[in-house]
Amino acid sequence: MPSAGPPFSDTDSIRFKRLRLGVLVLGILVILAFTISSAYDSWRSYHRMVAATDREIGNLANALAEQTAWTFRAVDLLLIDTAQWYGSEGRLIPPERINDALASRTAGVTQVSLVTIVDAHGIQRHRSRGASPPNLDVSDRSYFIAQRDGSATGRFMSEPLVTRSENRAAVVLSHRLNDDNGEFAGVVTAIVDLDDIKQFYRAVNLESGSAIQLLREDGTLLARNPPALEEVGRTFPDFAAAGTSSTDRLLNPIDDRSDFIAVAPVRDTPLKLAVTRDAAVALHAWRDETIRVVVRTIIFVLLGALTLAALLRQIRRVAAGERALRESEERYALAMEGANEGHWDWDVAADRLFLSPKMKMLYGLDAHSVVNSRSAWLAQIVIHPDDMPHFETALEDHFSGRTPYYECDYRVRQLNGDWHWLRGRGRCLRDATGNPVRFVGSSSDVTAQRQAQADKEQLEGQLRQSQKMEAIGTMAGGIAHDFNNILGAILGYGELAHQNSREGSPMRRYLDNVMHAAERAKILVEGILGFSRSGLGERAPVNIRSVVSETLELLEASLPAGIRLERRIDAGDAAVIGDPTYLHQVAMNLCTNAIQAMEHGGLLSVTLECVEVSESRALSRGSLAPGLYVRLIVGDTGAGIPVAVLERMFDPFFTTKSVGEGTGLGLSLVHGIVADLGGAIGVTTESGRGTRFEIWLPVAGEIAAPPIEEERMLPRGNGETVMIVDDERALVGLAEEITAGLGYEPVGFASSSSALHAFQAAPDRFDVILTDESMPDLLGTELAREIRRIRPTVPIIVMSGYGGSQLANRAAEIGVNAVLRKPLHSRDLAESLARALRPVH
Amino acid sequence: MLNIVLYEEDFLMRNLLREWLGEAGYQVRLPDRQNAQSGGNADLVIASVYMPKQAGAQYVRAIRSRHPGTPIIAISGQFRSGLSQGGATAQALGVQQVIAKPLVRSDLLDSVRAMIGTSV
Repeated sequence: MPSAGPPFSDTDSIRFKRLRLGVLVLGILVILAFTISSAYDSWRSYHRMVAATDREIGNLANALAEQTAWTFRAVDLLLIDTAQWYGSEGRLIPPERINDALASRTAGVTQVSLVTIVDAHGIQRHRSRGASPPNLDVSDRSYFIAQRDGSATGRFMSEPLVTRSENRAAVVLSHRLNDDNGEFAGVVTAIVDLDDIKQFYRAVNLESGSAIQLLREDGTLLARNPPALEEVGRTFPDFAAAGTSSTDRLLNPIDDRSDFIAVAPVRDTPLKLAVTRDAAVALHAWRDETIRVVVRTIIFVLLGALTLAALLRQIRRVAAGERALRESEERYALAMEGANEGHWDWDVAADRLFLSPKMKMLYGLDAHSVVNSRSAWLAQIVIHPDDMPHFETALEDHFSGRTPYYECDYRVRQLNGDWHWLRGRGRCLRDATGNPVRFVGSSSDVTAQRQAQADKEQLEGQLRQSQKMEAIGTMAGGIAHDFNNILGAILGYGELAHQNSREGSPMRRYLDNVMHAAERAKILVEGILGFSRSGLGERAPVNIRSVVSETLELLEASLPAGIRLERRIDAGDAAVIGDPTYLHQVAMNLCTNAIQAMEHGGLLSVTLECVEVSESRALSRGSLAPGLYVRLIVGDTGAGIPVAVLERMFDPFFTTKSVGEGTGLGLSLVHGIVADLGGAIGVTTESGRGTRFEIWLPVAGEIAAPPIEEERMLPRGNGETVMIVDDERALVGLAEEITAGLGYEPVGFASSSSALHAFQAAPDRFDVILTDESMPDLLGTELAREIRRIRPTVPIIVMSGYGGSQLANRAAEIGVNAVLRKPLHSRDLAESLARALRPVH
Repeated sequence: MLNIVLYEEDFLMRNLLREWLGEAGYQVRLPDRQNAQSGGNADLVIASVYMPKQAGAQYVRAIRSRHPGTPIIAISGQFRSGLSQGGATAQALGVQQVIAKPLVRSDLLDSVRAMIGTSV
């Protein structure tokens, strides 16, 4: 599965950090630009306002100064003219008429309230209005002194003063009068009424906060509008000092306010005209506008800041949301990956199918293959044919609403050809009418779980089996114990009774039957002990190779036609702890079973080898701990074992053979013996291909094979037919093998009843009878008795695993030729057969 | 007279063995269950063993310690036929002879005679 990438990547957080920074910088720039623009506008507006004010008051000052100049120029002309007139004509006319002449000259010059003529001594001689007070001396006046001393050139203008004759605020202009010799002869003066000028200024419509000042060059205030009577006459050097440049401003000493000021000189006079305007008033409009701009800017900045903050917060939220989404997706992907699950999403109506890459891999497809519809999906994957029906049923059941969820295990073929188990789980979403519209779910590979489950079930089965066998063993042990005691009593007392009964009496016959019955019971108990593993048998190190080799040698001679034996004996001198008789029984049982499984011929393969087991393993029956084992493999190419049989074939008395042909104890004996020796059995079978039994026995060191008896000349037969009867098929085979090897013609029977039938059918067919004693239906001696009834002369040899006087007695009674002890040795058999067939006389 | 101590729980078997052995001239003693030390001197011990693979082995050890030096014949319904005198099974149990039940009279008496001889 492609990696989902690192958890929420750094690049994303950097991206969002950059975005936030960018927005922040941009926002601040916009706010800054706006603020600067506002400040600049305000600054521009201020300067425009100042310039406008300066221009306005400058113009006003110039205009008024010019106007004032004209006023004083008229007065000046009047004085010059009067002085000339007085010098040339005035002195000629009578003094009493001079006043009138002055009055007439003065008329029309309204700004002049009075014209006087003062003599050289400062006494006023004439005046244009009224009569001069007698001896009115003005010699102390500045306008007189300045002219007399010649410090004034031409015209002189006094400081504002209050006239002595009329008590009016005025300035006095004077002009020098010369006599014929050019000596000082007095002055002609004109009193200019300042009120008149003030009235003129008042006619100018001034804005509030503005003022017009008429000053002398030294700063003495002559007139002002608005009026400031108490200030007239005071000297304000600041006014005088204020230049004419338009930017000047001044702390107005008259009203203590910061004023704009424009000063214009009054031409041809020592006067200046100053127009002031209160800066607060002049800048009032600008200030109002500035306040509006500031408020607007602050509001805008606040709004901008708020917007910015909101934007940043939104970005943070988006980032957090994106991170959460990303993390959620990652968690989902990780969970899916962790669960090793793939998922699908099928839009049923549109047949649009989405498969996650993992899902495709689970289906045995390439992760990048294109599967867009269900039909494409079905075409590309291979579902195991055995699983197809329930796969379809599960889907149908869920789609039709019979199951709330879809769940189905099925096998899918992988790229490498293996079948993997998938567990699909899903659910479909339905529309209002209940029809499926969308089918969503996930699948995981459960091959390992299913295998583990199967292994577990097998182990549990084995456990159950071994518990069952243990229970059977305990029960069988108990039965054997009690039964053998009871049988011992029956047999023991029976024998005593037998001894005390009269020969040939009915009592003797009854007791014989009791004894026979008890013998049969004894054999049954012996069988039970065998498979139940509860009996205690001989145990010694056995060279397993020689046991198996002997068994195969016996088998080889009697192999049915069409069956080939392939052997690989490769176990060295490995020793197994056990009873050679039982080990022989194991090998023989397995081989005869294998041969019987191949009715139409085949290959019997027998392998014996040492195998090191490195870790514990469970087999069909029992399990292996680590260690060294010898493994006996017996394989056939027969029909195989059906499953039903496979499960039960080790059970005692379970047989597939017809009644009378087998006891059903063969494999259970094998199992009992192998389990008793700490071994285990593995079975693999395939229908029509064959079966393979593996017997694992723990190796207990090594032991040399028993020395092979030196070959003595054994008495051989001459094609005589030997009837061989033993309920153990393996032993029939063994005896057949030996007798055939000795030159006889063996005919084997696996039960005494079938043997008796055969003998009854053809009594002369058999030259000698070789029978086991312990058999389920008829004992060997009983069979002998029946056969002797049919043909009294036939030689009979009885074999028995255990001797005992009873058997000897019975055998002698019937006239059995010989009693042989099992396990059967070929020498004993050869000699017994020879003796039985060719009695030494 | 030769003494044989017989450990056999089954009374039928016990009586039969007493009869067989007594008839052959041996004196048969049954151990006193209450007195564990009542083994005393005996020429042979015959012990019936139940479950010789498990608890029985423990039982045989107890008997052996009770009769130190005395030969023992173990008999059991759970021995399988074909056991040999002094074989691995006998060695494993720590006895001289093992005989599978049901006993054949001659087998038992032959073994007894072989081990301790004929009683006078």
